[in-house]
Amino acid sequence: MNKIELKNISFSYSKDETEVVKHVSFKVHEGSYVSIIGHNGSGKSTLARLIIGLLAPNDGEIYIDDELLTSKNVRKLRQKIGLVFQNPDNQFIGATVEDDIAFGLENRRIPRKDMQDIINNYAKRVGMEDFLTKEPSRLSGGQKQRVAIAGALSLNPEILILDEATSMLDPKGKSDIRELINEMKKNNPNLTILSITHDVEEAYDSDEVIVLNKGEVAFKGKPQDVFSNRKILESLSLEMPFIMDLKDKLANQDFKIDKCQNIDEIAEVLWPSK
Amino acid sequence: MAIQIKDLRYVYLPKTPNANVALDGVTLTIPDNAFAAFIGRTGSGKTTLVQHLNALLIPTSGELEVDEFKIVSKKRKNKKIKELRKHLSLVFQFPEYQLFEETVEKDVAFGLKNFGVKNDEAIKLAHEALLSVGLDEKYFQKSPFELSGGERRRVAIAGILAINPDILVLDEPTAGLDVKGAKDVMSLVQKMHENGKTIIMVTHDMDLVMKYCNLVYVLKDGKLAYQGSTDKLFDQVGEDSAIEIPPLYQLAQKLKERGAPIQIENIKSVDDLINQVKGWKKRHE
Repeated sequence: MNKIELKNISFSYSKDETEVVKHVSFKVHEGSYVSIIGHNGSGKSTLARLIIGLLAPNDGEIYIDDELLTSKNVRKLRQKIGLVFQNPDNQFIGATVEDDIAFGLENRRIPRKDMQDIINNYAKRVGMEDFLTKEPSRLSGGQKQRVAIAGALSLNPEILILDEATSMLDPKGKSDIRELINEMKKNNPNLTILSITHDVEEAYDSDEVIVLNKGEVAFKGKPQDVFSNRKILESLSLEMPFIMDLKDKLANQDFKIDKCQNIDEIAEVLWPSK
Repeated sequence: MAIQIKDLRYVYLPKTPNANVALDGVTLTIPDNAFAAFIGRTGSGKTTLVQHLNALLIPTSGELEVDEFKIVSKKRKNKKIKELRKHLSLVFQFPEYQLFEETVEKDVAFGLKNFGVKNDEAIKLAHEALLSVGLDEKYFQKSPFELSGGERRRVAIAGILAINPDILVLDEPTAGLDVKGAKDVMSLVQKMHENGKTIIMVTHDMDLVMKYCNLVYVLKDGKLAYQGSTDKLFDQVGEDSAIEIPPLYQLAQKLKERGAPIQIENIKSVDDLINQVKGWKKRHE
């Protein structure tokens, strides 16, 4: 089943300006994890705003659960979506971490007795359980972002949209969130994840990658296929994910590393233990 | 020595239930003409530390010397702060959010005018600074809000360059930029270093640290966990480190543990690693 479908979407911020999204069509199946990647200014954040109905396309149609997104049903359809934006300072509402996570739950009228468990559970999942009573202003950017992700996940959305959600996190924060996403997917195989990112390592985890360039879909496919062409990546200002880059260069030196999935296996090939 | 920090301690909201010790007895020196990086996890105190360097924050205790300027704890009065800020300038995280003027040239000239430079001279210096960050005449009259993220970042950096400080501090200069934008900003910073400026940056990006910096300071929970050359960083830090070790160095460490003749201090990129391992194939045959 298609969870999200875009049909020939075009958008420009004003009439006389060039289109920042041009004839974009794609489908996101229920339970899949799709990354939209592209360099700064490729139109990927605009696309996210179109999908959640913050902007309306000049042309084309967006379907959520096979229902056409219109100004009439946008609020209803948005209930299915959890959102996390890039800048953590722009999405904090509560006076403390737990208030902030509670805010969304209150909006959905979750009974008070259930709330504390949900808050504790999701705060723990993002590693913020020791910060529940802290003020947001005292948290670092990365910590704020983890709270935002906990807030979005706590509503049990059918679709999770991450708009450059990890770009301000440190490497540890990034890998924690990557693990968290993978764990979420395991526990809830129906959850659909759409991640807007320029981090190729993060996109490498997803089931499908859509590459945007100048507002158009330049490529789409499995990460192993999309990221295998060095020339194309360079022309799009993107890098090859580390593990693919390493394997590619080792293969050029005639090492047999085709089957290696991680650096432990690569180490074994390079210097076998006796 | 450009910068000396002695037993620096900083507490946010002191004497309240929410008191938070952000820096706890940090002592370090940064030599003239260094290209230094501060690294550490979120919340480790990096940003708090660099905000002391131009007296945006004043130590709770301890002191700093930035060349002839001295920054001391709140009990005593700090002098010449304006001169200090002309000598050492700070580019904040996401500086493009602070652009506000109606044209790019006015925005870059704004800081200069604050330092008492006359309008015509300020505009002239602004043009020079913009050209040096790779933004030509086409950009001078544009609104900063028409520009892409990478261009806006360069406008913000030009605003600091126009002041012509001797020491430039950049807090996460590449955060949120794509590969090309990050490369553009870093080659600009490198050029400034070659022109004799001392560069201090806060970053999470280990690739940048290994590629550009010669000194690295690691902070952990408000304390200094490592200071030294970048070459030895990944050779010395272990599993339970204050920083996330990039996969390239994880692999190098695993090879070393296996007894392979790998020199981690000579590895700055995947290609360096390949150069060291390519002869090994014969060993297996």
